Amino acid sequence: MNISKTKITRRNFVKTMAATSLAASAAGLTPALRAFAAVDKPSFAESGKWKPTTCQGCTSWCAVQAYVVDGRAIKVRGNSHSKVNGEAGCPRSHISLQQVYDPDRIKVPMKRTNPKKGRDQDPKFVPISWDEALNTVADKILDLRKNNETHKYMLMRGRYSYMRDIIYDRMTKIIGSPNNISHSAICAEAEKFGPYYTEGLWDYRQYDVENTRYLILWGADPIAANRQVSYYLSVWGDVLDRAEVAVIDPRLSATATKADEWMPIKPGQDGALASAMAHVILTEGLWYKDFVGDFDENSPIKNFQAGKEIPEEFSTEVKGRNVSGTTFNEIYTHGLVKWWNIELKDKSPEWAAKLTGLKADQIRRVATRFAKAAPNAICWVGGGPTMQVRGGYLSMATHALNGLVGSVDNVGGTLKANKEYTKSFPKPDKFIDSIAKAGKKHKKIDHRGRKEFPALKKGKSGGGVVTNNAAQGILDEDPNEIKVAIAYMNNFTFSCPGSERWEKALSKIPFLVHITTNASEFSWFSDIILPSVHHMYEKWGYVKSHGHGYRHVTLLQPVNQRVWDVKIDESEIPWLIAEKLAAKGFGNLLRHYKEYKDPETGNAPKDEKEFALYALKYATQNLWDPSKYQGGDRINGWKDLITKGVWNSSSYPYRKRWGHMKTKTKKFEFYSETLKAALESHAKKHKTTVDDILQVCNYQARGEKAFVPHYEEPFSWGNKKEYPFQLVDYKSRLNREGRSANCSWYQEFKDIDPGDEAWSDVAKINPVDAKKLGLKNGNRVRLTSKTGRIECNIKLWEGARPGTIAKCYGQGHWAYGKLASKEFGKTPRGGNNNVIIPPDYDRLSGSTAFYALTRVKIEKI
Amino acid sequence: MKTKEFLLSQSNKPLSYRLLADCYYLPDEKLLGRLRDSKSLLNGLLSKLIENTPANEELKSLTVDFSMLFVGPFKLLAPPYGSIYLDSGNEVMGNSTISVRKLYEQEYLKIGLKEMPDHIAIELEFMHYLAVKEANADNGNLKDEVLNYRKKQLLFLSEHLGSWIDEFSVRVDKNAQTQFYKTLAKVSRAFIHDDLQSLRLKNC
Repeated sequence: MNISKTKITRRNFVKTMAATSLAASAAGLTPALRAFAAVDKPSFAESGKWKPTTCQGCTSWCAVQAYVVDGRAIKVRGNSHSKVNGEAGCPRSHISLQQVYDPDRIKVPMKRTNPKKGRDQDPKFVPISWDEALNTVADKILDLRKNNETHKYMLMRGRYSYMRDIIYDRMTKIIGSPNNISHSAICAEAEKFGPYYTEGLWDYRQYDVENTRYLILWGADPIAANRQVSYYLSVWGDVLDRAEVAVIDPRLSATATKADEWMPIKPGQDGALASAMAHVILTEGLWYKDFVGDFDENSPIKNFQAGKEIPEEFSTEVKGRNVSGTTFNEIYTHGLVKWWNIELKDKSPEWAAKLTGLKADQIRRVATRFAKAAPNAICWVGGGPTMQVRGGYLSMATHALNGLVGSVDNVGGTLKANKEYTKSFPKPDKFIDSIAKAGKKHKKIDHRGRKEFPALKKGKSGGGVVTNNAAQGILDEDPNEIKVAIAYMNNFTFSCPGSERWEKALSKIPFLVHITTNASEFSWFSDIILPSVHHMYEKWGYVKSHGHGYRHVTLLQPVNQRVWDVKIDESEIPWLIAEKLAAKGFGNLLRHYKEYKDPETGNAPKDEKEFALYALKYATQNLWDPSKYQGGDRINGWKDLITKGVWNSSSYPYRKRWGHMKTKTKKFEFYSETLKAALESHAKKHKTTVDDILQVCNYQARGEKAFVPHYEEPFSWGNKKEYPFQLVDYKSRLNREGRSANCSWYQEFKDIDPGDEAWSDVAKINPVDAKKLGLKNGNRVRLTSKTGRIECNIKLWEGARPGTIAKCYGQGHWAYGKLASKEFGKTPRGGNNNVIIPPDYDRLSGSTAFYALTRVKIEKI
Repeated sequence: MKTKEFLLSQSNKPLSYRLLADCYYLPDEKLLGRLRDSKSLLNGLLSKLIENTPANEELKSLTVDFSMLFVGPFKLLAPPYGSIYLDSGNEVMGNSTISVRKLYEQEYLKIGLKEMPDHIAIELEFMHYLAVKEANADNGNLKDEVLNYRKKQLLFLSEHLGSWIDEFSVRVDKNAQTQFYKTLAKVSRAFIHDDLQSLRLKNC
């Protein structure tokens, strides 16, 4: 019950009116209580206690503790039980305190009363009961099932915990739709592309920074905005003591300010730099021989010479005998000579200097010092150089350097995630009926796997999502219309480039439900909004994350008393929908959910609260149940786990994957047989050639080049004459994934992002460029790209490479609460970068491009 | 009858707080009916509110207005929470909220709704509760009790409801689309101020 939707019941009404008539009775007046209930014994404040939970403000997923007094969290710190982040924290986690107590949160379910949808149409939401909301949702789903249209149901997922499959996978399947669309391709899937097609790892890496001697950061800003920020913040001083750090980024990032070398590269030219570095490492003979191997002792060729092709086989005379063999004997790698011949032999630092805007000396120096530190040397590949059009090959080119110096899976190098032992939820198969089976057979709304969208996740055509293209699918009703959609913890109308397409697409969906903590630009187009718990303080769930040579599984726990009438997005709400569906005659989903039994008692859940808890206990049983122990921390039962809040893996088994990588050759592939097989399979599916696929998908490589890490020219929208500047988008150290703009601390401390200003959104321009344009600090400007325009203030800043505009993502909300916009519903605070970033892709990975594709012009207004 | 006289009437004051509190719940036909029916019972400041009570057909616009003012979901135009006005930052569940909850607990009351303790409807209901207690003590000639409950009301109004009602009512008046809520804000403010003044006089 909540004030905003509590109807006056007859009983209440009578009681209230009785208050006056009782005035004269012998017993005196009786208070007419509506909000209050009398208690026998008051529960006075408990003393403060540190309670464990998890911060999902970014993808670090730190184990934290909240200091809770009388049901209210007032402080946050790292959870010392975690071997990943330990006691370390970061500014983001503190901002969560303002999120959970944000007066603009959704407090009760609400429904739209204005049937018209559009940016200019106030939805006029009014409160409704959970009962009404859930009945409406269930009715809409059942209408689809009645008409055999379950494929017209869609589930959109933004940020998630690993409880996600309850709503994302199981519910969608049992209803009968292929359309569960995750946000992954607007995150950093292209970053995984390189590691997968070289070492068979489709995942983010962890970096062994405490043992490294040289770090090259490609567009990554780990002390501000990459994974394990808390951990890296805590050790970075020591890292700088032991290792040299080079940062490659067109803007002076937080990490660049503390680095030994800043390489302000021209946007999108990272591939040229990577190829040149590889060229230097090979021509200088600095590759790590224990990993890569060496020239055959009988080979007449003993080194890599610039411009000279190397035969893969040799035949020569040794002491009068004819000897033949492989010129270069690789140990744990594959295809080095091919890579050299196809891509590297001409890619000198001088060649790269012209493209990158960097000095050849610096390229040579960084490459040499990096390789001399081998194998304790890291190429840290972030989203910057990979989430670009053609970014998949950038991901390969940059990550391949780790193969050259043998740092893959090695001490002071790049590591994968350690093993963990959580388990999947029960299989849904027996609850997928004939209607659902027929619905699931339809093609997905995001077009993955089509000729123009290979999305080759883990080697499979259409294996990955093309999140941002789902808008196009909805708009074009291709392959079909979407009639009913549920979305949670996402805001695609803000977070996807070409955000206006999403506004139109959502307006087209006849029935849209948004489950979220704060109403957003996405909610604006919804028919029903359902208030979600805040993940960090009010939810049962778990996430797994790696860093510092360990992996932890950390629990999200309801450490606070819930604020308002909110429910858990990934467990309670799907359960309640399942109950309604069952009451109306479709019981498969509820029957499936009842299989998530409490491992301690064997009891099936009876309500949504038990379900949320049992599902978590079920998934994590192998971690806390001593009889199921498989490795890592020894936890003594469920109570022990929720008290500690976190389970840690065993320490990292270095070099265990050498020779056992999940590639076609089991080796680190400089010539990717794995990518070759994937591309050929995709081409075969579409009855065409790999070259045709590459042309359709806007890549430049043809022939054998498609299978090696290589340079491709950056692709951008707009010509240089009309749009003279390149936009450098980046992430704030305060962004809780775009959700913190309504917090005063975010606005007040925005200037801790280098170059930024408090309570403002600034486009940072180099003073040299500003002078040419006659711009001064604080001037109001319009940034126009081929696809949109935004307004913000200008800031003169030497940290922006000339020819670029550096602008942080996060501001520009027009509907996210009181503080997020300058004037709610009318004037955003600054502009959302995604309005001007064109919707385009690295099609091989399915990723949305954010970087190096947006040319802009600046006009003073 | 003037407000001060009105307030002296033991039955009118608790009922007025009760009625005011109910006006900050989601409006429905019953509330509107009650307000109209209450016309004969009440006078003074509250009569203005009743005069502006809309007909049932206007309920939809009233509901939308209520939502935008007090619920959201986008920007809460007139946050109905004390902590927004009394504590630093734009947050609920501030120190003042906890302090309010402690005062409720001292009266052996706990909140049965999923709402903040310092929501205006709950604070008004608390005043209703204290006023009933005072009236009952007065009926029973328990002078110390009467004084005790008056002090509690004075403390609560001085430190909580009475100290943020001004800013709150300004925000409602400025942002409300319906005359009903504009009037409600003014009436709430005036009523609370009169009660505060009256309590101060009684305590002196």
